[in-house]
Amino acid sequence: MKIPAIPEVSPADSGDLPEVIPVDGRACKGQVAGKRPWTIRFLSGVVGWLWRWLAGTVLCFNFIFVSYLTSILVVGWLYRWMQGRVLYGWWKRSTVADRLSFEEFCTGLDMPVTSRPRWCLRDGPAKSPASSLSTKPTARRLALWLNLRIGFQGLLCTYALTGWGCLVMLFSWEFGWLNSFNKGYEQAPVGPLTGLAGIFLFITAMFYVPMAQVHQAVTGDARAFFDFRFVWRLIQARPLAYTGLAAVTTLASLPLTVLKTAPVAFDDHFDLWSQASDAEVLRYLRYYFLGCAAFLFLTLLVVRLVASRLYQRAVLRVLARGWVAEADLHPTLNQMLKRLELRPALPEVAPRFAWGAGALGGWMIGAADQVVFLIALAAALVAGPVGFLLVLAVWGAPWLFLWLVGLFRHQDKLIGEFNLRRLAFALLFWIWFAFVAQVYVSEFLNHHPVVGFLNHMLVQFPCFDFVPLGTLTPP
Amino acid sequence: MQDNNSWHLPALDRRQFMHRVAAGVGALSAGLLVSGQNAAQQRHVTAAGSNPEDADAIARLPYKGPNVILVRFGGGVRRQETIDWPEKTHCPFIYHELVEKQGILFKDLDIASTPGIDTSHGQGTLYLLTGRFDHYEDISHKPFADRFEAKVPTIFEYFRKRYDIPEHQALIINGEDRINEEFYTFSNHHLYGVRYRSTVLSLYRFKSYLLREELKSPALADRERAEKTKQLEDMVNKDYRVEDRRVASPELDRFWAEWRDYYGESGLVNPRGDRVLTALAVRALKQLRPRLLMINYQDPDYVHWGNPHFYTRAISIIDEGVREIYQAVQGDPEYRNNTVFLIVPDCGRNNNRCMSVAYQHHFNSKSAHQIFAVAAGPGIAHPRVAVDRQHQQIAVAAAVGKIMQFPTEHVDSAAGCLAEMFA
Repeated sequence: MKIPAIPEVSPADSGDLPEVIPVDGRACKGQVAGKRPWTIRFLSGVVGWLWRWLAGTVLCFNFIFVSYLTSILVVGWLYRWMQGRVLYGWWKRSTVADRLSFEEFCTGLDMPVTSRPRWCLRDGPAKSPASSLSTKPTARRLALWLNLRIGFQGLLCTYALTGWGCLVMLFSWEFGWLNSFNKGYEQAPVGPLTGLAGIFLFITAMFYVPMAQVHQAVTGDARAFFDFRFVWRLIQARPLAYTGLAAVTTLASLPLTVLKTAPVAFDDHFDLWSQASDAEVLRYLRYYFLGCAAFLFLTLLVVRLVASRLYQRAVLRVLARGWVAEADLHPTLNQMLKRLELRPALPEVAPRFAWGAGALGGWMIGAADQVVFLIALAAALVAGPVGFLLVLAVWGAPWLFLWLVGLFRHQDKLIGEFNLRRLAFALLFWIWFAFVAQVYVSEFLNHHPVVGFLNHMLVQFPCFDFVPLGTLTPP
Repeated sequence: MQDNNSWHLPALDRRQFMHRVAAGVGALSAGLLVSGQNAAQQRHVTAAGSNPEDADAIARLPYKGPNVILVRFGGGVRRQETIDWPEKTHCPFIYHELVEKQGILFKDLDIASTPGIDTSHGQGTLYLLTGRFDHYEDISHKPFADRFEAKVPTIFEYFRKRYDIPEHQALIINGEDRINEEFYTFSNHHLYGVRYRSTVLSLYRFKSYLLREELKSPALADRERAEKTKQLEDMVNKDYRVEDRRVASPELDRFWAEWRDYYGESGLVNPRGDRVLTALAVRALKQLRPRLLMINYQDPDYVHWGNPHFYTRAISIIDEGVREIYQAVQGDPEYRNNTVFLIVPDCGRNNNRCMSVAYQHHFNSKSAHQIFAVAAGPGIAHPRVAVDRQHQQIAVAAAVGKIMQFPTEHVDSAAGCLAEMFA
């Protein structure tokens, strides 16, 4: 009996196996969870954002004083939105995105996170039973409460640093002009000097605050705002981008400042306003400020989006370079990044930045840079452009020499990075100076008692309420 | 030194020619050779005792008419806080005493709403002084310098050309921090100009007096002397149109010497703000005996920087100042019943209900064009009811001319002369 030959079988190619669509409805990267047609999704997205915009606008301006309270909700909403944007960015970079949809990933976290926060009701759909990665159930609170709590915390922390400069600026304005009016020559320098001190304090705070605001938003922890070492390292990781954020904020505040000042040319100039009764003027003005608030909310979205993108990349760079220690990383951040498998091993002790922007040496050199720049400006006034260039050349020559020496000692990258940071922070100073200068020019043209200096709407209360008290409303 | 001074460009101007001939003859007859001076100085710094005005003085008439005190209710006030409601006025003396008891109120004085006519302090002062609305551009081309030059004669020039009035009796009293207003003393008009200029009293002039006095001291170290000389030159050269830089006269020097003896040199003892203008005016009435006096009050303008009470308080301080000057006039036999008060704002201020501090004036708003005038004194009508008819601000110059009886041929005659006050 002849045994038939066993045919040779080639090993099966696993690549030929058909891709299996998950049966539990989870979507992977590039896939859409629901199978709704794109037109419906597009329309629902448009309607959803229109609603958010409308609500944000009304919360930025509604009734006198109330606007300031409701704008706290806007701060909270924006913080939660930033948190969602940052996490979404990380999720997209992560391999976890191949296994979990963003919503599933978020439901697995210890805190409520959503890419599309709501104003009042609970965020998103109920927790999916499939999200098995969750360690403990996330409490789903009313969005209204979350917005209020996070907004209040955000403003409290922001004012803790920026408020001092604002207060000193307000004092200098009030006292300075009072003294000037009464010709108190003996105290003449007090007004301008405190004004400069206030500006300097505010700028110093603004070196730190924009990044700290996003850090607080992402961690959802008010104390994280004061993680000075971590936030400084984030800023140092992307100095030019951070300067860009300041530039975007300052540029974005320009049209807002113009809109805020523009009522100077309404009443008493055009018949529509001049011939209107007080009630009509009030109504027109309210329409105007509502329009401004709509623009403010859009501007805030852009500025916060840029800030969250910057933060998202800065964190990854800091971790990749090992600039922070294990202990420096906020627990929430730690958990998020671990789940996303984006957290590399970190050193036990953070490396020291002897001459970095956050270190004392960096501050001293930065201050010296500014002083030299001011001297150069003074020289330009006295001796023209030659004087300006001469001062800068004298100051720059040793640094150039150091850089050249560094080239031969294979330290060119280090010195180059150091000088890049110096340049970025010098720019940062003047960009924030331009931001404050706008406020001064605006207040000269159209003074807004107290709030003019105490509130910068892109940084603090996002409130566009400048209805004058007394003239149109009962005092 | 600039050469674009239109007033001395016409080299064959009759008076200049006469002055030069007189100066040359005087110098030659005395056997003196004027040498070592540049040509410009030779044109303007004449030989001893030959002040260019002296030749003209022969042809000029002695003045025997009433004195005029023109109060610029500056820097910009609205009707609402001054004349609209008697019970709400912040200038009670002007309203209740000057208007209600003896004078006349022009409720509707207007600054022309035509392109190029700005509602601001320098411009408003020049409208009052020249009797014409004109577009003024800063000739120094420096930010916020507001250095303007009148193209047609000022009332002081008309006055001094017509009458034999010494410089120090045609006075402008200025505030301390508006240097640009120091030089509205004469126009660029070729028939008038510097030789009929008025004199300015201000702390700026006091400071230059102090420097000149310090430079007289032989004990001054060379370096310090050089510094002070430069400082003085800088101050004096601000009025570059006056080539002889003759900013002082014996009368003025005496005036400032007494001021210094009384208040010292520190500037910390004398009255401040608009009060110093009142103090200067009262002293000037006693010492310099001005016939035409203009007082440029300015402090209501502080309201630009917020605090509405700066504005209302400053109005009250001006009102108090007018009361003091009025009392000084009444206490002086030569001035009593022989002095007319004219009170006019340089411009109005906004009435913008959309602003928390609605008192700007730079944006040509309607309310910034709407001002008023008050006149009181001998020969001035007292109709007991305010004049409702609209007049132009520039009519004030012609009114001063009519009161003091000098021709004002370059004012805008269409604006009239506030005729109701002479009824």
